[in-house]
Amino acid sequence: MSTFLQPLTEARAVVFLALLAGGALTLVEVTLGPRIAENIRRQTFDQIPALVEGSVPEATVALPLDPDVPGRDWVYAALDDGGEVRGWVVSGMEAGYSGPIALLVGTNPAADRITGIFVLQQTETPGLGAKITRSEFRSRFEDLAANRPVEVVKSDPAGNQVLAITGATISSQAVADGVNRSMNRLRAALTGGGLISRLEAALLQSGDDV
Amino acid sequence: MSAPETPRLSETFFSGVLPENPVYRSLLGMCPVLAVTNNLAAAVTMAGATAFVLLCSNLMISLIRGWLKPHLRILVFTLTIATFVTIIDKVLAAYLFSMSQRLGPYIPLIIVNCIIVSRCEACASRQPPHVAVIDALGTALGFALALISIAAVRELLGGGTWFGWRVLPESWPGWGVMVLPPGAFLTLGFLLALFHWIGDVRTARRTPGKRGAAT
Repeated sequence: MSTFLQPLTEARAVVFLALLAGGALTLVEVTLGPRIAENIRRQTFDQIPALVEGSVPEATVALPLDPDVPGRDWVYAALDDGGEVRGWVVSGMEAGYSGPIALLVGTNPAADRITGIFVLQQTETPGLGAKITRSEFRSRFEDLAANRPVEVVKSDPAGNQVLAITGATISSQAVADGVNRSMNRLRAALTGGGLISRLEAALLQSGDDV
Repeated sequence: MSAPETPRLSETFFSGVLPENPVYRSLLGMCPVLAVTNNLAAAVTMAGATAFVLLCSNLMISLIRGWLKPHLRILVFTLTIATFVTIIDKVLAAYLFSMSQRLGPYIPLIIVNCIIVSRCEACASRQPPHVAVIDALGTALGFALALISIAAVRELLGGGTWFGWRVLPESWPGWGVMVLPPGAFLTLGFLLALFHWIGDVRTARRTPGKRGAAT
């Protein structure tokens, strides 16, 4: 047996195990993946009344933020029981310090004021960056302007600025970047992307189903 | 513990529970012990998840122990443990979603929990499957006992509740420090001392010379 091939032969058990592991994990992903996605979706819907006042979660309409790229980023039209739009909630992903951060950003119907944010998923450092999930940090985004970028500062926030978490500037900045990006995309969807007409079409359609 | 003849199965089981308790005797698995014991529900979930991984890993490693080359065995242990941890992580995300969110990164960290690797190395890679399973069960029970004992103290003193149910009267002030990291270290320290003190008392009562003085 040549010395080149020998390690490969010794490792054949490992290779076989790796293939077995891959197969088992694929099986788990296929069977449990939809359930997990549904849990994440439900967690999102549960947040909408907290982010947009007066909205009724059952009346929420989910629309793809960008109709040409469906599936990842969504905008939720938070409606009240009269069918009026009380606000928008946009979902987005931003690269954080140690992994992706999944965010929800709530705005008023005109999309010029932030009503709140919620962190769906994050893998930041516990005790530091992970504090972005706490209401103490999230409340700093409330009532900020949504049509101007939100900035992160380390002291004395003024105007559209947010105080960073001490020792977690990168995580705080990632949240602000995610908020800004979501707001840009929401405004683009409202002005040029026909979001309102897509919402009306979705409401008509669900009206027909009833 | 590498006697020429295999110890009795009941001894194997029981040693992991109390005499060789992985937390109180071997001081392994400190990360979940400190991190997820501020409430009983999280501690029990972590104990269950670790038990699943311990059982499956020990069984698997024992079944393939003939294939383990010495220089590749840690690799194989890690591969096996990581697979089972991923499986239980997905199961938790599917069926206990809010608990999965609360436990956060500590479920994936089971992969580096020394208890599991050490049982694979010390027992599963050398013993037949039925012994490995019994060893895993005993160790899992010992780990669960440690987690639950610490969480019971922390949740009770920190909030007066167990599993969220109020146990102490409302007038209990609630020692916030108990549910924070310092409380974890304090509780662990005191319970560790208690465990060893009880062990010493029991050893002193036994026939002198049977087990020797504790170090």
